[in-house]
Amino acid sequence: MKRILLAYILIAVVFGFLFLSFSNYKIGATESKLPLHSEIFKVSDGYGYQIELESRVLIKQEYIPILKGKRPFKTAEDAERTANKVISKLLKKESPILTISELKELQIPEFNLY
Amino acid sequence: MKYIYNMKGRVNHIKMLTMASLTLCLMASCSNDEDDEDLGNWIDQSVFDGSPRSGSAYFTIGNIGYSGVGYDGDDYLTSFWSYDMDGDYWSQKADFPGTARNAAVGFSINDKGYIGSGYDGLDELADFYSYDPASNTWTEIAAFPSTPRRSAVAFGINGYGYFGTGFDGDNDRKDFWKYDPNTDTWHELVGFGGDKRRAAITFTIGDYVYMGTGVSNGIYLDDFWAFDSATESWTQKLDLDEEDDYSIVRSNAVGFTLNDYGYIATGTYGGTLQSIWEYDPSTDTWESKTSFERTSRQDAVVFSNNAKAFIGLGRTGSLYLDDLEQFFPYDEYDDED
Repeated sequence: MKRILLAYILIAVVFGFLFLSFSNYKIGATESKLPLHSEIFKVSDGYGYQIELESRVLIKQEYIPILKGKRPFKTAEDAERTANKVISKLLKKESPILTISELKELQIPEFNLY
Repeated sequence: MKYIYNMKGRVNHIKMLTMASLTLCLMASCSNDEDDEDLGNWIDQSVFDGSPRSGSAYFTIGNIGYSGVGYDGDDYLTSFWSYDMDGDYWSQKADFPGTARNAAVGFSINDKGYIGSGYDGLDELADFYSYDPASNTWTEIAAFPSTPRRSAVAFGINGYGYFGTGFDGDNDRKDFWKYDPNTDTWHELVGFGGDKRRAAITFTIGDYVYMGTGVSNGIYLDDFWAFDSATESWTQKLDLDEEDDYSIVRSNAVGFTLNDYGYIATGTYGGTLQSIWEYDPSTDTWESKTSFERTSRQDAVVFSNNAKAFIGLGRTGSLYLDDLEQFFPYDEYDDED
């Protein structure tokens, strides 16, 4: 009798553990593995970027976000840092909205004034 | 649902939601006595929308949809995005220059877009701004001269903007106003015979703008109106519960136009809705179409230019949705896409 009870408890513990680790594993897996990448392109007086999921364009940014007017990035590096920031946000399942403070942090010179 | 949302990757998440809503669709069709299957198909169009938000303002100019401001559950937003319907991609545009807000209206007059009114978390608002896509710039225009409000309706037609109904913080409204972009002035329009309301919809077919749904003091409104843009007069059409099998009444829905038919989709009536109804202006009748293939939602946005329609970015309870789907009203329903 005692042995059967022990077996039941053991089974319950094992299943409980399996269940927990299973759900932990899933809950913990917040990093998305979407095949996202960026492409920097040249426009007439600067650079833009696009964010692609495999071959599909999700975001095409010919001009610096947030700023009024049509001002491209001055350097390809500026465009690339910004594109990488968007990808990192998407991979963390955050909204791809860029804010002024993020662009300042990325040292995009146009945001030095803010 | 929230648990599933958290633990799955996005792609799986979309599949799960689709499956869940398909189940709901099946359940809904079981409870219907209709033998004929509804026509209309939704194609998943964007992996993400630009931002999960609700109560965003939106308008369409040509083949570009614009959506901005809104509420993401924590913050009121000023970011503003464009969606290229042909290229199926988004761009973050110049920030909305006014106070961050939701429940604002958006409309377009000729080649310019307008966003104004709304709610900033404390107060109803009366300021309005115009957006010029050619220069990606915003300009503040004359503020709405009457009571500030949120959850109003607005539309642009014949070179003028029209704005009315909504909630002023204390009461629902039924007044309508006209905005003239040439003189940057507002004038009140008389002649709307319907009741006060908030969170109604409009759609435009030819020279007529149709207005209906909405809620006031917990009562969902069933009257439906046509606005003749040439004479600026309103005519009452058949009620939205005219036929026994109509279930059109709701609030916080979206209205749009496709191939000269009008549509009312999503919204809330007790709970959030997935259903979509098609309006035939020649017969003043409604027909049910395939429900939106996602979890039901309210406060969605829709981009439509009469040739294409995309719908997305609503909310279900506290879960903010972030996908966009294109609606093909005459395709057979296909659950594989």
